Amino acid sequence: MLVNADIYVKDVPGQLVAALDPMSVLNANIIGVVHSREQVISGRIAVNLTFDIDPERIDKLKEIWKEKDVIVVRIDSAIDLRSIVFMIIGDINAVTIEELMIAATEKVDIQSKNIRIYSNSSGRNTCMISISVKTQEELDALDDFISKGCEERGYTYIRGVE
Amino acid sequence: MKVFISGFGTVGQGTMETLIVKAMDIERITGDKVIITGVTDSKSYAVKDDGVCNFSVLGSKSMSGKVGPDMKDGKSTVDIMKMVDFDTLIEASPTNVETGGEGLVNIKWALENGKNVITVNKGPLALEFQELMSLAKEKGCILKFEGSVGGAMPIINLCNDALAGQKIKSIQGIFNGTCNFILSRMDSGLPFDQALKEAQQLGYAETDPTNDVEGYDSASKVVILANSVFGINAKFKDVNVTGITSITSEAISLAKEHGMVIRLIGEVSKNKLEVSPRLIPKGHPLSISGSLNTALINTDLAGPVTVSGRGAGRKETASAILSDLIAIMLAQKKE
Repeated sequence: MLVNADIYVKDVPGQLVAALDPMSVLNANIIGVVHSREQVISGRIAVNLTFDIDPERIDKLKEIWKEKDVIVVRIDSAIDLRSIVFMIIGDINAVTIEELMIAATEKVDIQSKNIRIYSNSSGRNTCMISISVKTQEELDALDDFISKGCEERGYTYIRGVE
Repeated sequence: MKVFISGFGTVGQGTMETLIVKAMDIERITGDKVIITGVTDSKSYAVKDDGVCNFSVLGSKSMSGKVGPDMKDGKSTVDIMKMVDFDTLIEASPTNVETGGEGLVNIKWALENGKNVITVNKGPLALEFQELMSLAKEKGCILKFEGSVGGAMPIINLCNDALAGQKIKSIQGIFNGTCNFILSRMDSGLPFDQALKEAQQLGYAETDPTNDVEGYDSASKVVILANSVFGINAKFKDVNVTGITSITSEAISLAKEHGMVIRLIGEVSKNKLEVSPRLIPKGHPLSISGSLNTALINTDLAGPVTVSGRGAGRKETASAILSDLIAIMLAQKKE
């Protein structure tokens, strides 16, 4: 499980290493450490950590940190969102695109979306959509769904390259 | 090596010119000479067992539009091939992706009669690739087709020889220079119709541009790559094809706003055969402008390998034919 945490450690030498040590003991894979020296509060420095850990070991980690006088401000799962940007061209409008998006929402768990529609006097309108989902599988399912949806409706679907 | 050239348009003439210019190199590399014993175009033919006069054929074509004084008068290219002795057919007649056209008939006859074949004609390969390869194997002949995909861009030999042993996961590419030219001009603000007209005036697009702009030409190349590189028994009808005729100026502008361009991309992998317009970030190898062909080959060991070259043209396509011919001559020398 990918986790992101904000912690505060004492602004004295060796404290950051002391906070990171238990992570290797618990087999956590440290992905990022952001050490903010400008954020010193009551003699403590803010550190943001991103790491991969077995969810069952998170309580143990918090327990060890507490023993080492590390203050945990926030700890939660960091979801690595996958995004897709694509265009749809055809006899489309806000309603038809919204209907397609509602149908897509029933297939995958959409985290965020941004839609822009441009009208054209010829009736062939262009829509650019960016969508974020949680997993590659959801991204593939979304791609497949939009592709088939566009084919059925006679729209042109333009997606990116991997 | 005695050679018969079927089709004497730009590519056929370019091939003959190249064989004249490169005669000494060919002899140095292979230890053998190339003698052209037969040439046909749509209306006329020239044959001679000890070799036609290349300069006369080229001169006649240039002056009168015919390869010589002899007219076909209802005779097929197969009828002409029967008149003369040769070892290798160079098939460069016009492509027909619906039936394979005369090119398919010519290739089949040549293979059945123990002749090697070099084809730049995509139609027969897109329709009956596996059947033609099996026939060549059965008859102990060599069938080569490097110039059928990407002209001077050496993609087939690159995948099968230079990248031999690696797993090729996918190939994505710009396989039609005409579409890329049109989309590049649309990047500069021209609407589709005007960009197409400009492509026609410059000789990039045919009077009837359907084959190019509807994606059929790219789809033929996707089929050839699927068969020759991935070993998939794919046919033209298996490719999911979308052309570029529906691309609006708004779509181009919108892509530009987001740092992207739209390009017609052919994609081949074990589970995907597709030709469609795609959004490509600027700076990506497939974002190139102009009439070049480019392919991005994704491999397991070497990672992504990009190859680029002129997709069509007199000398460019002849260069692929020359490399195929030398490969055949060297292979037969070993036997």
